[in-house]
Amino acid sequence: MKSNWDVIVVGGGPAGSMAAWNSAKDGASVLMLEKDREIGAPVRCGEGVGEVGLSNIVKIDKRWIKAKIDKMNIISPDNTSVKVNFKEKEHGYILDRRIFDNDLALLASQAGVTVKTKSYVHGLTFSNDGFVNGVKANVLGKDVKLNSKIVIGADGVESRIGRFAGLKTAFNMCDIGSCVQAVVSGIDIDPNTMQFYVGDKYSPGGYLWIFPKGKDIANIGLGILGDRCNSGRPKDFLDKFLSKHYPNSSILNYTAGGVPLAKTLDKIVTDGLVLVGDAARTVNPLSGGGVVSGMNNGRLAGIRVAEAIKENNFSKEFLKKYSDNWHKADGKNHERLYKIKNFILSLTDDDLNHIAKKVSAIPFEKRSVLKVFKIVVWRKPSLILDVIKAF
Amino acid sequence: MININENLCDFCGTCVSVCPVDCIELFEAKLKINNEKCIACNLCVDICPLGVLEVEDEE
Repeated sequence: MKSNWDVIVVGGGPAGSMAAWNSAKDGASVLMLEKDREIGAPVRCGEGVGEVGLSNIVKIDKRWIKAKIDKMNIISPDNTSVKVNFKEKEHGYILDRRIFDNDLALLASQAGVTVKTKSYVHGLTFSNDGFVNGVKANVLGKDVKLNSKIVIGADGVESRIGRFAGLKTAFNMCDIGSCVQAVVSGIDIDPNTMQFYVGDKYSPGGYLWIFPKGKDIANIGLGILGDRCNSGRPKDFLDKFLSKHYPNSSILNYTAGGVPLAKTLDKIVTDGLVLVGDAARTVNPLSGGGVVSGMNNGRLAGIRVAEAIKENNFSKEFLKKYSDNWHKADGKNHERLYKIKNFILSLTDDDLNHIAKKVSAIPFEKRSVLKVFKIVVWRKPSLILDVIKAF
Repeated sequence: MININENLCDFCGTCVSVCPVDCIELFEAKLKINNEKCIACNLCVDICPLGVLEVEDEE
């Protein structure tokens, strides 16, 4: 393997692949390093995405899709069930991330990106004037130093690449969800409805999700907000739910993981380095969904990095345009969603029951996601404008 | 000192993401804590979704 590259991407998830792909479009030499032995596995994700958002970024392949979602069902702590139809623009999919992530890396490689798995980056190298100019890595068991003009940190929620370059990426406990998920089969569910159980009895500071992958199989998981983890382990909450609601089911897979529930980091570029995806905290802080926003973010980063290679300018001042473009595209909206999330965290289980009753009073055909959230924030009218802009 | 129960660990890296001093390292099925750098804030113990990490009492 050659040692000199224009761009080195650390991490082969959707944000990394999109960043690599777009960086390579004008002929830059791009290397993407994935620490695990396989792109797309293990899956640490609920796998839900919006149809419109995804189709704006890539041509959707049917092989990626396990289920089509056109409505949701929210269950309050007192068991009030509120079904809401999605508008067409809100329709979504539950993906098979293993196939999906693999295909995105394949698309990147077809555009000229070199992909390596089992490649762990444990450090960065710097030029005399402090620019990031390469990585220290273990590639397939061999320690190597690789040189680059720009490093793209797509290393997920751990985000050590940013730290190596002096960016402050460690999470505050109020900005991260501690999550577990099981792939559960042998259950009877509507394959087109995503379900959310809310309230402290299911998941303090978060929610429990059931995302169908067929009529008898689903991702069932939950996230507890970091600063509420003293209420119990996510794994124990999930086991309790499964034994009560689906006692005769099979569990095909268990995974754990952290989900960023934050605004995008203020600084996601520095000299010779950009951060993308979970590493830059581009996840929707209200829903915790980050696949499409991470891809869009990676795409914007890749476009700017390609320009930087062409102009031979790797300074943070030049790269910052990516950060500005992201803020205009999704970052600003995430700030609104973050405000809404923080308000929702102030609600008690009684408040949630009350909200569920109010939404139930609206005839089914007249309910919408927007109306639900207008009711959610009714006690804080200053958020209504944020809700209208966000949904 | 933090004890790691590797039998329970899913190697998800959530502990790494909250460590304020970056003393936890994860590569495939290996989790290492650098006890010289560790400041015993125990955030990793609190955030772990599976209860893999435990504070070991120092006598």
